[in-house]
Amino acid sequence: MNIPALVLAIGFGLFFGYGVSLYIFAGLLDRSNNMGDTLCNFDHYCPGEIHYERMADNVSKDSKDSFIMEYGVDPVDEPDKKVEITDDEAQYEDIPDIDIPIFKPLE
Amino acid sequence: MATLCRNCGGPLVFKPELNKLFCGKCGSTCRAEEIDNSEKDYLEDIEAVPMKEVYGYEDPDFVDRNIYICENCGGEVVVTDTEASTYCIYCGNPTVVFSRVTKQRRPEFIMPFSTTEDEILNLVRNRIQRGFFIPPSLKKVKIEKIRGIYIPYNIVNCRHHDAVILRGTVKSGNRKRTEYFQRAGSCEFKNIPLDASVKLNDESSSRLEPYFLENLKVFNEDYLSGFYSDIPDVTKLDIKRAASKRCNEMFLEETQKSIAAQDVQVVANIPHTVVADDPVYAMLPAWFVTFEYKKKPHTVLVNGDTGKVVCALPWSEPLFFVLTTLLALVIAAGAAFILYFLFATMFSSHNSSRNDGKLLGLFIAGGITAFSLGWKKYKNVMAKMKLTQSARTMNFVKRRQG
Repeated sequence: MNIPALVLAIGFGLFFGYGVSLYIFAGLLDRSNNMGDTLCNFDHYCPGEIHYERMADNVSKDSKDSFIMEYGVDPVDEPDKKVEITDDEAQYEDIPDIDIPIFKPLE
Repeated sequence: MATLCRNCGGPLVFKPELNKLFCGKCGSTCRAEEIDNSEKDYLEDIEAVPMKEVYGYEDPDFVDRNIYICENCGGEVVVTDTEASTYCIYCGNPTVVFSRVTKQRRPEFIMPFSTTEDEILNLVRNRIQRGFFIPPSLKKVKIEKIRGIYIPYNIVNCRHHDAVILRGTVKSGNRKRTEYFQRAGSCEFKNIPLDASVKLNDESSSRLEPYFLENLKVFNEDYLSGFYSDIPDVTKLDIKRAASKRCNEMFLEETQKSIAAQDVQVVANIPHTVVADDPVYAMLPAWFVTFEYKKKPHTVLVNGDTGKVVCALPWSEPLFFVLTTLLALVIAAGAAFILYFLFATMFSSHNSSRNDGKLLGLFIAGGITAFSLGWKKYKNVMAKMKLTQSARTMNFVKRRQG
């Protein structure tokens, strides 16, 4: 008997067995106990499709900045604006300083 | 108070099974649109008064509580800052704080409940019974409360633009390499419902979707009678943030589909969402079923229109781990048998072939993939269990009277 082969076979076998078993039973657990864990997707809320201005494959990693500068702004919304800020809050710049609660006046 | 029956003066309650208002005293029914609105003008002037003004002192535990006088019995109905309808604990009658849905923030639409309390209880019990990994003791658990609550929603239309840099693995021949992709584009989203209640977790409420908006009706206060309801307490910035988050997620998911590569990941993006016009304010129905299990609160959410159940229930850990280990050992024995001959052949080296290496690679890659997918699924179920046990959701339901 080849002992090193046996040890490796048991080690790899156990890893493979646990991987497959966890995959099977985690799926069963999800179906059994996790109910309604779905969100409405793109097709549900977008009547059309995405209109791409640019679709480029296999681009250079270094072209990131020029791409962001050129396409980082919605041309319909703000045609002349250049992107300088890239943090999350940048997308809220059109919100006034005072955060007004929604108030629907009586008609 | 609720609108009264024109025959006997009893309070009218909306019954989903009839799709009509029903008088518990004389049994008469009528449609919400048939109600005489002249009396409501008077009710609209009765406002909920902060507790501090009524009692002259402020209890820190009741900061956002208000007193509303029940028109039926004169009892004090305690409502939070955002409650629009509840029950009087003294006379048991449904109470609608008319001033909050007329003068303050009048919804444009409402989706009346189309499922009844009994239907929902049966549905939830059936689901609990069916779960393979649900512990037997949970199957006998006593449901503590079931409450039908109209959740305030803002329904928004958005224009979304994004410039995305993605990374993926592309296979060419026998080799794999990482490639970068650029996508810039825009699209329009219509009728996204955004939960307008700060007290309710967005992660829970978004899973109640879809709500079929063709079932919306022009808002009428009488649909609230017999149910709990809240008015919105979000700000414009909250709406903008929630809309941006949803649009960004959907856009990225769709964009990833346009990439012909494996393991596609977003490296960077500049999302920009514009919420078009004013959001439409609507009230959408949801049932909240609460129970306590092993001293932890649990809240099951059910879409009041479609009956979609949202929850992750406690699991039988011993059963899961025993079955997982047993199956793992069986698979491991089979795999080890094959692998032994594979390794033995490889070690003897004279007879080793390229196919042996491929088979070994397949075992390792298969094991890693299965384990990572299984682990991801397992972690997701655990996260959703935490959400079901959230004290925040339980408080959203329990801090109401009645």
